[in-house]
Amino acid sequence: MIMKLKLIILSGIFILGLIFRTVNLESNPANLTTAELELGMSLQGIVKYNAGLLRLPFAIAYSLTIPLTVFLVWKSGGKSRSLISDSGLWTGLFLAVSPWHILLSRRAEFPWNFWEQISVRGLMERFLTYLSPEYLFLTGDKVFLLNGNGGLLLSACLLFIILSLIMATKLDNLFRFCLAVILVGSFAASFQPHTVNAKPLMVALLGWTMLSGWAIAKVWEISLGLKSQLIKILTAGMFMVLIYQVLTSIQNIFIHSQRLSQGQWELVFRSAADYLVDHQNNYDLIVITDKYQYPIRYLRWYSKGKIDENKIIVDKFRDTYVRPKMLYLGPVDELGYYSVKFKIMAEFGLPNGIKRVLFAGVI
Amino acid sequence: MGNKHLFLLALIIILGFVVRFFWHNVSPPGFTADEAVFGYNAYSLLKTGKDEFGASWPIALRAFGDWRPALYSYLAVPFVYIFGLTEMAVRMPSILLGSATIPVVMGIAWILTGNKLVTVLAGLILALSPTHILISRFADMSPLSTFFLGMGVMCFLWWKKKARSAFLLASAVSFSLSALSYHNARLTGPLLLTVLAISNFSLIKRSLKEVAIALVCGIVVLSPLLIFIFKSPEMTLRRGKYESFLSQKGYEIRLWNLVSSNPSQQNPLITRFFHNKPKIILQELGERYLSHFSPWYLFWSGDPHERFQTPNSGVYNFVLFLLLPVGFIVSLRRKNLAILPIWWLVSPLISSIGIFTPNSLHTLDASIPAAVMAGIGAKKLSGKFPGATKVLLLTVGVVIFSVSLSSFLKGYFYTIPRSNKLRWNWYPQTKELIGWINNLTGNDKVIVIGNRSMHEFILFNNSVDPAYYQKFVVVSNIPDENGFERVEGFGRYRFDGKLDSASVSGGDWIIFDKDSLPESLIWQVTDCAFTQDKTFFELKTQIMDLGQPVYSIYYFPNDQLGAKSKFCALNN
Repeated sequence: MIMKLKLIILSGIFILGLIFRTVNLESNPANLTTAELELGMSLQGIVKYNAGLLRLPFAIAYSLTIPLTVFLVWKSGGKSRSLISDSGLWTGLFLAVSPWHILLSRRAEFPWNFWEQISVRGLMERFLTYLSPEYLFLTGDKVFLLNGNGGLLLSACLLFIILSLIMATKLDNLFRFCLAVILVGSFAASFQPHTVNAKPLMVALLGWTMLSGWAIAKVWEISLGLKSQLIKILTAGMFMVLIYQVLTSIQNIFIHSQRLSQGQWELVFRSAADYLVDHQNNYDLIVITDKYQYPIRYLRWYSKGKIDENKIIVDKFRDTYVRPKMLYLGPVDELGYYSVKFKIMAEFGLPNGIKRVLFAGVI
Repeated sequence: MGNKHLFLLALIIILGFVVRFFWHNVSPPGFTADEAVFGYNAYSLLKTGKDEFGASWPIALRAFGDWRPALYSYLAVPFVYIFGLTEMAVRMPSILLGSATIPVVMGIAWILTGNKLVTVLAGLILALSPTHILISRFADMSPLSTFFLGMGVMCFLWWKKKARSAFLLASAVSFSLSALSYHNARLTGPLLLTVLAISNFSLIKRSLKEVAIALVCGIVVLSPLLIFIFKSPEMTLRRGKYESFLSQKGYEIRLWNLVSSNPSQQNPLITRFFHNKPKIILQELGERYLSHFSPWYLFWSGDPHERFQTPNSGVYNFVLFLLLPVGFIVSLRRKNLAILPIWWLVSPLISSIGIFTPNSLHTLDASIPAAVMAGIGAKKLSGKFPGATKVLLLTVGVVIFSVSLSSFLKGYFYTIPRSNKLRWNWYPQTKELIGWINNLTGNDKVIVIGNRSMHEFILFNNSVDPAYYQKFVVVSNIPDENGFERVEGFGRYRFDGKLDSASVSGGDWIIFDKDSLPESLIWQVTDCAFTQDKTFFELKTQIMDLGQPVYSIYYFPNDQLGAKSKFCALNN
């Protein structure tokens, strides 16, 4: 009966996780990374230039890691069955609402990067940074700004971890297992290229999430067993902070991280593609700056294959390209130099409000 | 503890003293203005009973308008009296109390664990701790507060164990002295006392009379500071105000960015719920606080501030990366050891309010619990594994410890003295500059541009008569944007922020350091320079450090036209 109840709770957690990972999948995150673009191009026959369709299998697969992790915790052993069982459910709930996991789940990217040649100093820098509480719980990745406003994990978990270390009479197998996963995961991550989404750190973050689940279950269990009203009030306060952080974290993902994704350079090709679809018949030659990566692929994706690629040359602007029906898509910082030559037909910006990135001009 | 162990402990203390006392001619490669402040004020107190600005027996030194605790200068007085106003004399309180912290750590380890291995290791770890060595080798308040906090805790624990009221008395006095020595101890000390009091509540209840006497003694020692705080709260809090991230208001921009990226149609109450001032302040405080526990900072890169950093060395020896977490968890879970992790966690609190985080200077006292916890971690690990594995682990531990220690020693005694960039944090060749100025005949004005602490070097190196300085110094009473008061001049010296050609007259000497020179002179041709208004200066000499100029001395000739044609090929 109890097991049945736990499975029902787990199903609820899974559905919650699935919702957070699939809602508005096509438009959030707004940009399509180069890795996603590459995969999307090779699967264009199936996904039909739809980012949502491209991302859906990944979102579902990542959602499935929630019950899988819960089962892993349940199978990790330990003398207190109720503690292990509760730890599993808390871990599942945490994983379902974890900023790092939701953000990873909403990208069509494989979770592993290739190994990288790296110096000992570089390796140590990454390894020690990946173990930094500031990085994990508050600031997150300062280089890639994974999360709009916060860490990869919820900082209230740190309090629970310290409290559980004080209160627990015995540090069981699950605790040691989590530590091992964190250390091995952080070390393995240090060999991979440092990329957006803290992707290399996935295994270690799973370890941290399991440790947080264990800590909360432990604090919950011990607090309930104590007679002191003060401890119960304090624990209740900590849970309120935790709930507030979960809400903030969800808001971060759907507002602030989305805002960051709207500021990514590749999105300029979306508005440029719309313009070209409408106007490409007016031109014999379209020269596109090589300042930004994969212009043709992005234009093809955002125009859903409606661009006439035979007319396009990707290059810096040269006088040899000048002819009556020539359109140049160049970066706006070239305008000061070329403005005498060009008549500006359109300007393209990013959805986050940066008005001008590219211009379309004719001589 | 047997004679063998006591001998080992004595050896460790001697080793700790040796690495703090010797080779000051190698590193640090200079002497800072802060050190000169402590030294000259000690000299001034010795000669006149007043600080450099004429305040009688002050509790805080006005110095650069930062009103720093004066205890360091008082402790330096006997050394200045015996050895004269020398760099080593000024550094002696730091060196001695830094070294004396080693037996304090051993004492704490012994009282808490009663274990010889933990005691020896804790002492050895602190004796050879990179940051503790670095900071104990120059005149600073931090080694003092670290020592007194350690003494306070140790004496309290002795009192608990031996029930002798003299220990409680010594503990109270030590905690008071720690508050008199450095700002950071003014929060860490009371918090530690609170923890000790709560965890020994029943003992305190049984010994109310002893506690009351100790408390009165502590308050008596602390009373000059309490009176100063009561009388001059603005001065007491000035440094804290200017060095706090709260006063810099950077968090307001952060808050604005977050609020403005919310959808405009969203209910303002919801926006306020997610993004508000208390939350953003708490978040920034948390980030700054947790930065003190970054393994990268603790075990590999060290303090971001170059003066407190040794190339290729963390704040702690790298072996603590293995031992400290184990010791932390073990100590956290044992009531009698809980003071150690609590101290380690409490120590960065006041530093976290500051702008410069993580900060090893403000958290030097954390070295004490860290050393003891590392010893406990080593003991725990050694008990966990059987014979052969234990030997292997021990070997690995010794190798890591030795490699990390040699990396620190190489960085500190070899790399820093050979790097122009790192040397400049210690103002090398300033003594030579002042020697050069002293050789100038006549009474021509000497104008120092940019460097706002040069007066302290001049006072210190020339042992200027404090009574003369107190009489003729001109100070700007209005703090600048960083809260510092500027000494405008005394005697033949004038200290200007920037070069103003209109205020320079014929026969003046103008001195730039390597930072202020590029800002002031826009056009320089071999031995002469011009300002924007084409005023001409003749370059007289440059003081070199490792082949690079650190000070440039210019002369302002009376005959501008004649000098231009004489010295400059390019004079139009």
